[in-house]
Amino acid sequence: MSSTKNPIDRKYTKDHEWALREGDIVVVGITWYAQSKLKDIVFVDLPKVGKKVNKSEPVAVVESVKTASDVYSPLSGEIIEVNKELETSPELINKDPYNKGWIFKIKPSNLEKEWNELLDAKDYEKLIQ
Amino acid sequence: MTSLIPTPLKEVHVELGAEMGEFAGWEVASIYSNSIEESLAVRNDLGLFDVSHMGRIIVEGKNSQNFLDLIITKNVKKLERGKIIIPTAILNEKAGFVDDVSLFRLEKERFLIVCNAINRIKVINWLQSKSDEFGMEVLIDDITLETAMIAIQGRKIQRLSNLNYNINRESFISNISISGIPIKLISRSGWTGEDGFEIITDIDNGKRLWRKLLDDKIKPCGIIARDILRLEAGFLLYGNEISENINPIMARYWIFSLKKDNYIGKEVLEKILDEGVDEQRVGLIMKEKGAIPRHGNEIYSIKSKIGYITSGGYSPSLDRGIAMGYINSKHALLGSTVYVKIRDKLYEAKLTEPPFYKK
Repeated sequence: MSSTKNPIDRKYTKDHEWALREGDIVVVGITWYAQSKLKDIVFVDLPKVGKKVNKSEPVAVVESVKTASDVYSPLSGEIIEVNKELETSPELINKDPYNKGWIFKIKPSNLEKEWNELLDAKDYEKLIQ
Repeated sequence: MTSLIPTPLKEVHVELGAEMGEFAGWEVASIYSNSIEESLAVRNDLGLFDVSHMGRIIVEGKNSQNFLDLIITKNVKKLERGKIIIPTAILNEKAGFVDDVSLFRLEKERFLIVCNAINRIKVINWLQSKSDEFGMEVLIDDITLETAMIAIQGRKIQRLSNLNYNINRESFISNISISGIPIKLISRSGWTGEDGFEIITDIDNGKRLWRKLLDDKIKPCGIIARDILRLEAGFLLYGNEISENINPIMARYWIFSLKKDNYIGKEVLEKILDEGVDEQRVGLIMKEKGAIPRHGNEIYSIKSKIGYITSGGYSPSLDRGIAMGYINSKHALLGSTVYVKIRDKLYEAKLTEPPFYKK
């Protein structure tokens, strides 16, 4: 179910990505707020699996009717999986940004340091108010 | 920043929970629910648009016909009462667009110009200064802020029994009422590529009419849906496809007559037709589904840059990226493959003749 509430089980960036730990990998998507600003998402340009990325580097692009918007990696590491369902159903990001609308999974290379630099749900709420 | 002019129908949009946005200095409704659904409603059924931001300028007086005939690129002398020249243009001395407009003949000596929101003040100043220059006195009255303008557009226009007027395209009728609501003018016109009406009323009746039309299950559509629809229909947007530096010939926008007597820009138009143009407007359909061209993207042949995109976006009707742009005339080969550079990657596109969407 879609929710405007930002789940407390994950961290956030000031660029409106979320990052959820699943064992030693991290799932990344964009927040409810980000999709509500973009509206009507029609295409997601997904990164290549195996790509090595730095924290805050643009790795994917979300195209809405209105505009194209970069998605930045919240962490450094290697892209290990992308959400193939978005290729045919990009609107999953609008409908369910925190679950079915995930974008990529990353194997972090500097998790200990970088995880703590991310915002928790409370700080992110303050940012978007 | 100068402050935005709120559309006179703002309160009805806010009631509907619309997201408000900026267009050409106006605060307008951008999206009601979802601009893809809104644009498809027009293609499959009906859509309702607040187009009050468009400029509405009355020109009247005994010189009005002869004056406008020097300003407008089509024959004003032949325009009968109750008829519209749509679209036509006002050109500058270099044959660039001051604006593209429609011209209504309200009375023998009374005309209405409907112009683009972004050019309203410029057009008024242009009319005033040319009237002074030609020594042809006319009364110019800007009625934009005291009126509202509503468009009903869509394939199922016939289903509206209360709008069952026998108005041909390029015609209008004045001072009637729709479901008991008095209106100033209703014309068979629009900017979506579908059949429909545009209605001018005073502001209070505009609000009443908007609410009445919502009761008729007409989907309200925001400015983003309007932009999608006009792009699909291949209509030119001032500031994107046309400007003071673009002439109608390179725009391939046949809104002028060379048969009539003189008007501003005519001699230059004839010269351009004789000499040809270096670049011209084309349509582009993207091959890959995810490639969405945007204003400002560059167009390439195999290796060289040959043009640029002026309007681009996602077409819900085609489920593809579509665009209009200008390219070097040598490369304007309809049907050929070109490439659009989007985020440093070249995406295949086919050069085509708009409209992209046909009824």
